[in-house]
Amino acid sequence: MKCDSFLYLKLIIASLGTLCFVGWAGAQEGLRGPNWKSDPNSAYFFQTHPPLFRLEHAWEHDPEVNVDWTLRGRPANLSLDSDTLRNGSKHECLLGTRQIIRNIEMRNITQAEEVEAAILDRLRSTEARDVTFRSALVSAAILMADSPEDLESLWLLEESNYETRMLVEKALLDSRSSVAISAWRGRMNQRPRSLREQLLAVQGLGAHGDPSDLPALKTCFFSPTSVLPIQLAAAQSMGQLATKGLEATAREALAEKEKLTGQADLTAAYMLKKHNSVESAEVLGRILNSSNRAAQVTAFETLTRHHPKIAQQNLKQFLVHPDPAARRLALRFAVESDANSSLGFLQEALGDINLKTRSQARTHLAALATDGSLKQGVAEAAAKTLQENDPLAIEQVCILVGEAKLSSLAAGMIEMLDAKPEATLVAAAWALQSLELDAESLQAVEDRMRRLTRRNFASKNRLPRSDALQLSYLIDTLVINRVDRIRPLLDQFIPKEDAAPPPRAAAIWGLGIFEAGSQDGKLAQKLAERLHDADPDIPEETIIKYVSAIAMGRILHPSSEEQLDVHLDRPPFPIGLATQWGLQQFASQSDGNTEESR
Amino acid sequence: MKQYLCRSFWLPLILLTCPIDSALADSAELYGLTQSTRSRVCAGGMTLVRVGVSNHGEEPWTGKVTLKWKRRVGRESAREVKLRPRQRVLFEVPMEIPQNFKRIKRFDLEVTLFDEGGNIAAYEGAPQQRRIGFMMDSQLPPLSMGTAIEAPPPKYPFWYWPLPPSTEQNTFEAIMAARIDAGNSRRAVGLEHEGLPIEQQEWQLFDLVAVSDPNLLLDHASRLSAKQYLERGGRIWVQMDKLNCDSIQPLLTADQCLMQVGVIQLHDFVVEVSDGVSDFAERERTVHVDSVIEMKRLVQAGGTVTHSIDGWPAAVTFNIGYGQLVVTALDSSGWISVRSRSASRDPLMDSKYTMYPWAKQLAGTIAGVARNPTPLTDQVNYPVQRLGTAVVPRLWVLFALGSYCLVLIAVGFVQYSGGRLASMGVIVPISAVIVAAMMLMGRNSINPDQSEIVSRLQLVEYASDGSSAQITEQAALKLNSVHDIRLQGTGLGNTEPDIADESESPPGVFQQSQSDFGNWTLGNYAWPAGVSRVRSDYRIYCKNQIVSAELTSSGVELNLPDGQAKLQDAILWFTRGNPMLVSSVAEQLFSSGEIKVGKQRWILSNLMTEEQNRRLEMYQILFGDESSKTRPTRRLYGWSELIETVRAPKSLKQVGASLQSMPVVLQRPEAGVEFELPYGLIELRQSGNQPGASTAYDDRSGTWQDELTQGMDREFEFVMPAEVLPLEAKSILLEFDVRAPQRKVEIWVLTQYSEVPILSADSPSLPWETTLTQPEILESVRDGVLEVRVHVSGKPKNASRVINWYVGHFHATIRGAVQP
Repeated sequence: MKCDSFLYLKLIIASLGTLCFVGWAGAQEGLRGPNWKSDPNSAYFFQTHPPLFRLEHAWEHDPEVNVDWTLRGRPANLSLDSDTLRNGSKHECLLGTRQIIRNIEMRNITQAEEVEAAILDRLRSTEARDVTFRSALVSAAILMADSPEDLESLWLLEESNYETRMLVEKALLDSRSSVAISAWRGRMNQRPRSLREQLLAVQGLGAHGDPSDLPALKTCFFSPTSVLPIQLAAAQSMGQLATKGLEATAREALAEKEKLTGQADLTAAYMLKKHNSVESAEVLGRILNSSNRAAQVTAFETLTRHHPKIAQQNLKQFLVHPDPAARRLALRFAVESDANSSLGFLQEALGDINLKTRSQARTHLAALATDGSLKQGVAEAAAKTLQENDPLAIEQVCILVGEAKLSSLAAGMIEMLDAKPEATLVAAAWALQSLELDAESLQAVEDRMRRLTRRNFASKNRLPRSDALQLSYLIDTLVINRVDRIRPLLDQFIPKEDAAPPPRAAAIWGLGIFEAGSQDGKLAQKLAERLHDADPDIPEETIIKYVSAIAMGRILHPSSEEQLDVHLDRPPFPIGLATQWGLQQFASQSDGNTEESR
Repeated sequence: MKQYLCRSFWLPLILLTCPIDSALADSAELYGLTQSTRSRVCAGGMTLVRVGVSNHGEEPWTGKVTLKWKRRVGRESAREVKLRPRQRVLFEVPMEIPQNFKRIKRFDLEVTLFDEGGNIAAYEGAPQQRRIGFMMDSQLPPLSMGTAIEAPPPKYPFWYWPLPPSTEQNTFEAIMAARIDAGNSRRAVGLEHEGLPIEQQEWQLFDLVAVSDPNLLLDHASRLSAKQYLERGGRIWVQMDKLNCDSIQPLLTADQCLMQVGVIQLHDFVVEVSDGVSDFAERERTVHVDSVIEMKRLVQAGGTVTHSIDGWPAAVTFNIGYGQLVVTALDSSGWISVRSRSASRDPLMDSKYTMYPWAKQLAGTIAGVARNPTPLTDQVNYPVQRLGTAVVPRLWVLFALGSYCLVLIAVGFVQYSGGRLASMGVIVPISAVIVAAMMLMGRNSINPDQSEIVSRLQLVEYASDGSSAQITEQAALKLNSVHDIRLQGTGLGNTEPDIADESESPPGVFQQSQSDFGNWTLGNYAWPAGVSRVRSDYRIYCKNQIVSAELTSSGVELNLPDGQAKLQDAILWFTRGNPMLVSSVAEQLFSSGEIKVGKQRWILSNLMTEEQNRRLEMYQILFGDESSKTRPTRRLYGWSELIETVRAPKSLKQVGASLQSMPVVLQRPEAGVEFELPYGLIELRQSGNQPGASTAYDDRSGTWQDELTQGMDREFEFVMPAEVLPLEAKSILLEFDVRAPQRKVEIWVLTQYSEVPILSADSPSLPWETTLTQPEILESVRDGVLEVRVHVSGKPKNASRVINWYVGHFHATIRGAVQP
C-alpha cells in the first residue's frame, strides 16, 4: 500500500513537472514574439496578387546590387501526353482536361500547341457527342486558346451544339473576334431558349455590333417579357454602341421606374455613357439626384468625361459619397481638373475610412509633389495633418513624406517614432530612409536605434513585430547615411537566434556597406556560416543568406570566393542570384588588379 | 529419394493446372489500394476505393478490377482497365454500403484484378488479389457536406508591412459558422484537390455542397454535373467572394438569370431581411466594421431574394429542379461575427464564429436541412402490374358460357319433348359443376405470356430549356429460369438492383461495372428466376423539348415540339397545387379547367382501361408525395411510349410506358385579343403585407390543410403569369369551395382605395362562385395581382366541441386581354 502511494506521488510529481515544462516552453514560444517564418508557397501569389502598397526595405532593392531577386516562386511545368488526350479512354482524357483547367492560371503547360491540337482532334471524334465529355474538352480548349483564331475554329466546331456553343460565345465576347455576330443578331429576332442565351446575344451585340443593332436592343429593352438583367445588359450594350441619339430612350426608361424595379436610373445612365450632348447632360443631372447610388456613380463618371462643368458643380457631393468608388472617382476628377485646389480635398481624404481611398489620396499628393510649384503646398497639407489626431491620416502622411521626399518634415517623422498606433511608428521609420537628414536628426535616429537594439538584446524576448520592423528601417536609414558609429552594434545581429530577421537582414546588409573592400576575414567567416547554415531544426532564413552573400561580395575576403562558389543555389533562386553577384565582384576586382599590374 | 519423387510428381501437376498464359505472361500489377477521403463509410453510404494498376509489359493490357464483399452481399463493383505498355493508372471504384450494415463495425472488401480471359491476373507469380478493410464511421453527421473552397490566403512574407487586414479564410469560417449554428458537425468532405465530382453517385452523398473556389467551376463538365445534382434535390451554396456570375449562370434554369453590375465596398450597412420568418429591428440588422466588406452588386431574375443591402441582393435562392442554389453576394466576413460563447466542448461541434442573428434563418435553410426528396424513390407497383397476370381471356369465358347455355337449352328442349323435363333438375347442377371445373383447369393451364419480360416505368423530366432530361426508371424483370443477363446504359447515371429488403439476399451476384466514362452495366451471371426489380437514374441530351402554350378564348392550347409523340392522359402543372386535366381533341392538347382534378379524377375518360388505372395510381403517388412541394412548375405531364432506355438483352420482351414532364412556355397573347386565363395558370399565395403566415394554406405546396380548427383572417394574392401583363381584365370568376359549419366566412377584394366585400356566408356547405365585373376590381389586377382578404370566424362561443372546417379549392379564372 505504501509502495503504491509512493508510486502515485512520483507519478503526480512527474506529471506536474512535465506540465510546468510544457507551460514554460509554450510561454517562451509565446514570449518570443511573432512567427517570422515565411511561407514559401506565398511567393507566386504575391507576384500575381500584390498588396495594395507596402513599405520596402533598403536591402530589398539596393541600386548598387541591381538584382531583382524577390518572389521567384513559380509552380513546376505541367506536361501532358497529347496522345492520351487524342486516343486514350474518355476517363483518361477527362483527367487530362481537368489538369489543364486547374493549371491554366499558371499558363505553364508544356507543348501547349500540341495539347490544344489533340483536344480539337478529340472534339471531332464521334464519341465526343456525349455532352458532358464534350463540355470538358471545350472548357479546356477555351482556356488554352491564345488568339481569336483559336476561338473561331472552336466556334465552327461548336456552333450547332446548344450546351457548348454558349461557352465559346462567352469567350468570343472578350476576344476581338466577331465570328458569332450573325448568330447573336438572329437570336434577337426569335424567342431564345434560355435567358443565358439571350444575355449572351445582347452582350455580344454590345461588344461586337454596330449602330444598326440599336433598334433590336431597344426592342429587347422595352419588351414586356424582358427581365431586369436582360434590360440592364441591353442598356449597357446600347451605351457601348451609341454616342448620340439615346437621350429620348433614356428619358423613356426613367419614366418606367416601376417596371425596372428600382434600376431605371442605372439603365438610363448606362445608355448615355458615351453621349456628350446637352440633353444627355440634363438627364444625367437628374440621375445624380436619384437615390440609386450605382446610377449616381455611373452618371457622374460620364459627366466627368463629357461634361466637366456639371461634374465640377457636383464634386463636393461625391467627395463625401457613401460609395468609396465614388469618392475615389471624385478625387481623381478634382486632381485632373484643378490640381491646386484639390490639395484640400486630398488632405481630407487621407483620413478616409476606406483604405483604398486614402491610399489613392496619398498617391495623388505624392504625384503632385513632383511638381515643384506644388511641393510646398503638399508639405503644408502633410504638416497640417500631422497636427491632427487622426491615426489613419497620419500613417498615410508618413508614407507620403517618404514617397515625396518631404525632408522638411523629418522632425515630424522622428517625433512619430514613438507614436501610437504601431502602423504610424513603422511608417515614420520607413519614411526617414528617403529623406535628407541633418546631423541632429541622424543623432535622434541613432539614439532610437540604440535604444531598440538594447531592448532587443537585454532580454530573451524578441521585440514586437512593429518595433522589429522599425529597427530594421532605422538601421537602413543610418546605413544609407553612412553613420558608421553604429558599425560595432551591427555585429550583434549576425547570430541566428538573437533577433528577428528584418533587423538582422538590415544589419548584415549594412555591414557589407561599411566594410566594403576591407577583406575582414573574421566577418567574412561569420557571414559564410550564415550562408551555409544547414541546421534542419532552426533553418536560416533565405533573406539572411541572401544579404550575407551580398555582404561577402562587398567585403571581398579571398576565402569568400570559394564559399560563394560552392553554394548549391543558382539563379534564378534568390541566394543563387546573390552568390553570382558576389562572384562577379571578385571577378571585377581581379580584372582591376590585372589592369593595375599592367 | 522420396522427397524427390514427391517433387517430381507435384511440379508437372502444378504446371499443368496453372493457366500458364495468365500466371506467367501477365504483366499487370495492383500497386495501390487506399480509401478516398470522399467515402462515406456508413450504412447506406458509399466507399470509394482508389486502385492503382500498372502494366509492366511491352504490350497493351486489358482487364478488369472488381470489388467484392468478404461477407455475403449479393453485389459487387467493377471497372474495366485498358493500359498501354508501361502505363500506370490510378482510379476510383465506388461500392455502395447496404442499409442493413447498421450494426456492423468493420468490413472488408476483396479487390481482384482479372485479365481479359476472366482469370485472376498474376504478377511475378503472385495473384493480384488484395483485401482492404474499412471501419464504419460512427461519428458521421446525419447531414453530409462537401466543400470546394478556394486556397487559404497565404501568409505575408515576414518582412512585409503593412500587415494584411485579415488572414482568416472567411469563406470557410462562414460555412462552418452556418453549419454549427444549424446544429451540425464541422465534418465535411473537401473537394478542392480532386475537383467537383462528375459521377452522380458521388454527388448523391452530399446534402449540401459549398463552393467558393473559382477554378473548380471553370470546367463545364463539372457544372453540368452540379446542375444535375441540383435538379435531383441537392443544395449548393455559392459564395461570390471569389466567383463571378459567368461560372454560375450555367447552373441556372432557362428562366433564371444572374448578372453582376459592380462591386461596392461597405464599412457599415443595414440588412433588409425578407425570408418570411425573421423580424428584426433596424439596430439588430446594422453592421459596423473597421475593415472593408465587399459586396457584388447583382441583378437577378427567377430567384428569391432573402437578404438585401441598399436594394441590392445579398442572398438569393434559386429553385433548380427539386434542389436549391443559394448565392450570397455579400462577402463571407459580412455574415459572421466572433462567437461570444463556445457552442460545444466537442471541437467538431464548435466554431470561432457565428452567423449574425439576422442570418440564422438562412444558415438553417442552407446547412440544417437534408436534400430535397425526388419522385419515384420508393418502389411503385406499375412495373410489376404491367408484367400481367395469368387469366383466362374474356372471349374464352364468353364462348364457354354461351356454349353451355346453348347446350342446356337444346338438352332442355329434348327433355321437354320427351316429357322428362324433371331430369333437368339433376342434369343442370351436374353439368354446371363440370363446366366450372373445366374453366378452372383452363385458368391454371393458361398463361397469357410465356415469354420473359422486362416491364418499365420511366419518369422523364426535361430540363427547363428542353436540352436534356433526367430519366428515373423502375423496371421489373420476369424470368422463367436463371440467366446470365446484363443491362447496359450510357450517359451520366447508373442502374442498380432494387431490393426492398436488403436482408434477403437474392441468388447470384449483381455486378455494377463501368467500362469508360458514361458507359455502365448491371450484370448478373445467374440472374434469378421469377420477378426481380432494378432502378436506373440517368441523363440524356436532346433538342428543344419545350411545349408551347397559347391562351385562347376558352382555355389554354398546348403544342408539343416537333417530333414528339402525342402525350396521353396529360396533366398541366403550371402552378403549384393547381393541376389541370388536359383533353385531347383532334390531335390537339387543350386545357380549360372545366373539369377539376379530384382525388380519384386525374384522367379524362369515361371508361378507364387497366393501363389508365395504373396511370391514375401513379399520378396520385407523384402529386401526393413530399417531392411535390419542390416539384418544378410550368410543366406538362403525359404518357407516351418508352424512350431511350437502359438496354436489356433482345430476348426479353419489353413493355412499359414513359411519363414525360415537359417544360411549358406560355406565349404572350396578342394585344387586344380576348382570352381566358384558367385557374391553373394563376398562383395563389399568402400576401407578404402581413407578418408571419397562416398554417391553413401552404405556399410551398399550394395546398390547404385537411382539417382546420382555428379561425383565419388572412390576405391572399392571386398572381398571374408575367406573359399576360399589363392585363385589361373583363371579368373575374372566383370559386371558393369552403365547408365551415357554424362559422362565418367573408371575402373582400382589396383594391387600391377600398376593400370590396364579395362574400358573407354563415355556415357555408356548398361550393360558392361569383363573377366580378366591378371596374375598380378589374383595374386593380392590371399589374397581375388580385388581392383578397379571407376571414373565417373562430370557434363559435356556444359550441361545445371544436368543429373543423376545410377548403376544397380557392380559384380565380380571368377573362381579359393584354394591353398594348
